[in-house]
Amino acid sequence: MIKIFYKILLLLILLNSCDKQSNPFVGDDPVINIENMQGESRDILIIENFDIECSMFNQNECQLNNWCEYQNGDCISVPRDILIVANQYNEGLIVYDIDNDNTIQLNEIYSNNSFEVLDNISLENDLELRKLVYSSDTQFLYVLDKFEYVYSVWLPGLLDQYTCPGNQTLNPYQLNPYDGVSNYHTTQVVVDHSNINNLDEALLLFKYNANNISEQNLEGLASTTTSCSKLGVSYLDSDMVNLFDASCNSELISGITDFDPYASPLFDYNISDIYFDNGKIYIANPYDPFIFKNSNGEKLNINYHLETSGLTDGCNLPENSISFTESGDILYNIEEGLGYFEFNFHGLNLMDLYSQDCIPGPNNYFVKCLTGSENMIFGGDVNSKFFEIMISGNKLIGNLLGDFIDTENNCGLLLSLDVPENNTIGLFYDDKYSVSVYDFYENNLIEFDHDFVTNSKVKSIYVHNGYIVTGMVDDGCYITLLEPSGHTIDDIPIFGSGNFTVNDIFYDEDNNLLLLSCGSKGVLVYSWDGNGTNVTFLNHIVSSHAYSAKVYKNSYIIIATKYGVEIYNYEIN
Amino acid sequence: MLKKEYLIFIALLGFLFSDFSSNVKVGFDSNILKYSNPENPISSNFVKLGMGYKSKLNIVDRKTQMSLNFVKSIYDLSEKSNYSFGLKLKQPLGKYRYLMLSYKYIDNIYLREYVDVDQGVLDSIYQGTNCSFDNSIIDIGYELPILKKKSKINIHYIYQTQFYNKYFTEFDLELHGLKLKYIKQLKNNKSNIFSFRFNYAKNLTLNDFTLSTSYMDRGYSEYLFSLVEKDKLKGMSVDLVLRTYSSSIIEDQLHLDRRHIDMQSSFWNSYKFFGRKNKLIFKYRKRVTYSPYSWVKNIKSFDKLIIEHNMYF
Repeated sequence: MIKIFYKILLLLILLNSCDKQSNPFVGDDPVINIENMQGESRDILIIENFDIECSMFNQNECQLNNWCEYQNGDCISVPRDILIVANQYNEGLIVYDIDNDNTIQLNEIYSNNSFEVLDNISLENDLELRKLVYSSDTQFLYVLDKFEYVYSVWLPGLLDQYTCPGNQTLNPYQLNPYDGVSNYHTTQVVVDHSNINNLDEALLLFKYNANNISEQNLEGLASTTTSCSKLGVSYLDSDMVNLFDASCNSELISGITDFDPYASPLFDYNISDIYFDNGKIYIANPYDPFIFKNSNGEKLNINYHLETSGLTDGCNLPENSISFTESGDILYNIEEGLGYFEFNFHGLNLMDLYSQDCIPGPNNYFVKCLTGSENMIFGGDVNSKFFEIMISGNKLIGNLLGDFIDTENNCGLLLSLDVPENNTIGLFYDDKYSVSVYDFYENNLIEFDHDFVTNSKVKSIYVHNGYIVTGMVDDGCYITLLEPSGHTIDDIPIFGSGNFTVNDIFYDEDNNLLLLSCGSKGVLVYSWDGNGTNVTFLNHIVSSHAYSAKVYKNSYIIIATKYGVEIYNYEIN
Repeated sequence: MLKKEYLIFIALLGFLFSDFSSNVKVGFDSNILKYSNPENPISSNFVKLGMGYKSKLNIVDRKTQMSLNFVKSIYDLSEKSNYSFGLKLKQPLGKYRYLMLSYKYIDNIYLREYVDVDQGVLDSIYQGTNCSFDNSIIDIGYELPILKKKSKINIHYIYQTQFYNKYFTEFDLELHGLKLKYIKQLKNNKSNIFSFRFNYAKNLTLNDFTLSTSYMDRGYSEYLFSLVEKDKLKGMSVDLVLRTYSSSIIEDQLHLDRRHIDMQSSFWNSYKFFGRKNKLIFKYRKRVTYSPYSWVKNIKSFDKLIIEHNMYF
């Protein structure tokens, strides 16, 4: 009986185990257009009603030109909506005409992947376009080729062959070839187009990788031996040129462009985003944790001791650890002689604090403070040797150039800062992140305004109307007041963004739409009036890996993804 | 899911009827979802309950050997729990030659939670969907002796399908495989087995009407090598898989020019306990992935350790 039952059971299992394909699931609002590309689309720009000046064309020229129309004896401009795509690797810079008559269609009107300048910095012909910035005042487009150069071009001349002399379109040209230091690489660009005479000033973030190339200009880097970054400014002298006369002449513009490589203090390597708004620069993750090296330049593994209550003597610390006290003392207990140290602080302007006591460096972005002299600038064991401590921004670097601090017990007070009362100064250590805000002045000076510590690593920044929107790595997005008191560790991410990484933030003021591009998690859409911290979740667009997203015509959301451009139907109520 | 009655039922079948066999495996898997190191692998204990039935059928002149087996796998991570079913027929043809036919079905093999890009526009937050597939395998083989019956060779054609749940049909695969197996019998019940297999996997849903199929080809070809050395009580094996993905879609970073080497070493030892056979197995598996894209290399490489204890009834 049991045998029969068992056979029947097995027969039933056999019958149920027949396998067949499932019908694929398709969501309610599928993607309506895919422009697959040979490489990642990292950034997009939509320019609505873009036109070129047609009035100078005669009838024949006018009728030849796609951007113009001849009507009643006049050549008039025909505005068109364009989509500009920055593509990594194969396809370079692509411009589409957006045909929105019935359903949206993209018609390619320009593509170029061969404008890369090759030299000792840019060794490979591998355009990795990462970011697009457009100045509506000057109509200049700025294109970042990651870790290499920024290219610029006057957009009417790029798209129309008749606008500039010679009946041929312009090519993007290399902006500000700066070859002072061979191992600097441009990784970010923002543009201040609020300047007088409608001249753009491009702020470029250079990163310096200490592991890459040995030849380096230590003088210009405040004796740092670690990877770092800083901002430079590219600008046109308004006395030298009328930009609109020179727009078609990239050689002329390039030739008279000035570049100030020492505009900012020294930052660390892991800056993930910079944002420019209304004369202020917002920098995500300007500083990394502290570093110690021995006299051979080998990095030491030093822990940070959090508990400072009752701690007055560094010799009471666990071995190979440091601590920073409220009174501004860096206590240490490190078994090896110290040949190099680098500290980053938040909550003050350190360089300002020591600008009187220390000697200005060769550039205006760091000061040199002597140790071991009669007039001690710092307290502590740093005075056991004669050397220069560099301060740049909120970074303090001690490089003993082969020598080392070697006290009797290698513990105690390493360095004491002259901090003001009720100080809120903190030292960066592991898992501590921040945003710094700087003022940008017309003489290309960048000065510290304030900073704030964040709960996790910041990936993207957007600022609007006194609020700062910060997109985090694996921690969603926060909207807080911009003022220094607007941030606490109790801040919570906006609804639904919780564990997402936010690559890019876009705000459409006209429709009160906030778009968060969240990599493999797609794009989150919120309603935000731009005047508070409250947002309302609207939709989650589950796109391919999203780098950046924009709203188009109240009807579509266009997303730059790892696999090209995707366009989603999105009726905005 | 683990019901005492079920366990007792399996054990009793093995004890009471000689045609039935049953076994219980308990074990530990250090990386149950094959996560890469940066993804923080999760471990799981498991229990596998197996039932088998053997019989001889009078279909042709020589009796056909038939075996059926059913395995229920239960993991701490409940999504991973599933069952499998197998049917094997072995027809003697005379002169130690055999024709073999087998069918195996493994239900609901859970991989992990992935984002289904075909979801479109949702009015709620979407974190991902569980991804799993059913695997069915049809194997037709022929066995013949060589070298005075001391050794034999098996030749197999293997047809497989891997059909995913409805959110991930973009991964549906059809596999065709050829396998050559050489078994050498040695003295003292020792034997060496070497097998070589080639699989070609075709992505069935490539370029259908969904977004997810428009830029990825999940097809591949692979070579599998296996070497076993064993005696009646103990043994060891090494399995090596060299897989190359066939995608030629330039935007398909996940599969373009991707290949991996997957190696598993196993050691086992059997012993008697209360007159019943027990077996302890250690397995170590490591996959190294190569790709022009570092993110692919990072997330598709993993290693894991499996410890299993089998009790036979």
